[in-house]
Amino acid sequence: MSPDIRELFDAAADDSRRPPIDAEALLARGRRKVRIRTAGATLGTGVLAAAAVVAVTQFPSVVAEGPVQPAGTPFSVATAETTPTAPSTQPPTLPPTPSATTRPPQSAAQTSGTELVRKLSYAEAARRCTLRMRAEYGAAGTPVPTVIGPGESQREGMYVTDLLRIKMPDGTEAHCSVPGSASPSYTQKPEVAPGDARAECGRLTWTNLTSWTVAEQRDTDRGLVAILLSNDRRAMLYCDIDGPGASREKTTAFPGASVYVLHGPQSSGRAGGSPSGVLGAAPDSTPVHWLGAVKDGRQIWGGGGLASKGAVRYVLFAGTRKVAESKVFYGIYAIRVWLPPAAGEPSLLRGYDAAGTVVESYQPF
Amino acid sequence: MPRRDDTAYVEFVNGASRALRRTAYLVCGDWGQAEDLVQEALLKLYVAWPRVAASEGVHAYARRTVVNVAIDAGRKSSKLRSTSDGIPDLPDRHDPVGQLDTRSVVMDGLRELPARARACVVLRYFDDLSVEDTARALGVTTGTVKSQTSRGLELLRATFERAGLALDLVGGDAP
Repeated sequence: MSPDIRELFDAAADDSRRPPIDAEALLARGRRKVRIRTAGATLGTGVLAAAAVVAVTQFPSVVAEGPVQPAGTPFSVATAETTPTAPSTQPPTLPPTPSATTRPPQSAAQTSGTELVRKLSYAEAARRCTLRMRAEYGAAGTPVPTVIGPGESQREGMYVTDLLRIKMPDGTEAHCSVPGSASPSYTQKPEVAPGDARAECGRLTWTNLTSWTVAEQRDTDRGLVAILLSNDRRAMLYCDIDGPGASREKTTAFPGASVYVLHGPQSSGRAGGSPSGVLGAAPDSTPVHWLGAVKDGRQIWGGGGLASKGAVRYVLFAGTRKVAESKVFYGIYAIRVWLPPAAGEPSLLRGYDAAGTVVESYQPF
Repeated sequence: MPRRDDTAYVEFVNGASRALRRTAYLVCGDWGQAEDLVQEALLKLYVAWPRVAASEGVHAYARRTVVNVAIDAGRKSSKLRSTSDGIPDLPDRHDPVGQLDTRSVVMDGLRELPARARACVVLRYFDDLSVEDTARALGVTTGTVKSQTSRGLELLRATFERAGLALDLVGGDAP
């Protein structure tokens, strides 16, 4: 008699020789985690481990495979009290010389600074996207086989030409593949008229994105990942949503999405926004920047595309206190930020040009 | 606000962690990762314990967290590690070769499944969850569970056939 599937699974998952999980050790870690969450003070090893996980998950598509450029030099800064409310105020004073250390600060004595942990050039990111796209979904132009019904978004399969095609209640078809200019949520009703495409899929900041190429688009069970390239291959939009319930099987906006728009000098300007931070690109191709979406304990993780025009450094504030400063990076990158002791959650990010003028300012979280 | 009952938490971990780890292993395909996933989920459970204990079953919460964390982890590496990759972390001299082969086929078959289909099959046929409970655990509709389970079983059958194993997937009722 052939074994049934339950028996097969039972045998395959035989863990009789594996030691049990130490409940007391877990309890200790849990207590520490709760203390950290409550007090926001002590940085424990559990948080470090969790932050490491966050680091990997933050940029799964663009940094998780293949060799990456070596980490950049940590850029330690001194903390200082500043007043971030007035846009024209001078930037905080930079340290005389950036730290030349090559290892991230790990000791209790060194708890502030930033480090570039991953970086990909646009060209390399596009190449990887293309390779993955071909490997997973076939060559460009693969037809979409699914017939969609009125009021439904496209079901199943992710294909090169797939742009989250949806069918409007009146039977017409539209495409939805863009993040909201505001902060749409699953529970928030779209502020648009019934029948508007935005009512189906969120706010269409870039309606002309339907002409863009989907370099990668995946249903990741608990979220969506979409990377779109402009026709001139000089701009990229990267959307990643981790929200449970997000699915190709239903209308999906991108609340809380991680969005990167990369602009080259020849691309036309487009602008958009994300709850995680303002994204912008002026008609003169001023690039955009995004920093910060995930935080855990006292480490802040961020990343983004190109910097705002003229920006040479970014400064994070918690209230009026400067907590970290970063150089400007170009390409797709992840940076790690350590907050100094007793610093609160960063509430403002500002970009400064070489003259100390504020060129960008937004709430990073 | 409900108090955090550490004694109850420890009792739960001692009683449920093994089953959770086995489920995680079937979903992620790697014992080491399964252990990490379960610990991560149990830590989340501890943080949420007062709320969870007062509102819903802690086991259901823990299982849901494990599976979802496993699926999230799968995003980091689009493909699961092959069971044939690397050296087994624990020697198993008592297993006949045939059983090892069968296990390998089972895990290879699971590895070939899309993450959601894999989770559906595991929850339905290893954890013996109903369609409704599986849907709740994964945050999807019952229709999705049925379709994904059916798809998963179909792919598993194909894997077994390719391996030349005459195995019938007769367990459980219809997806």
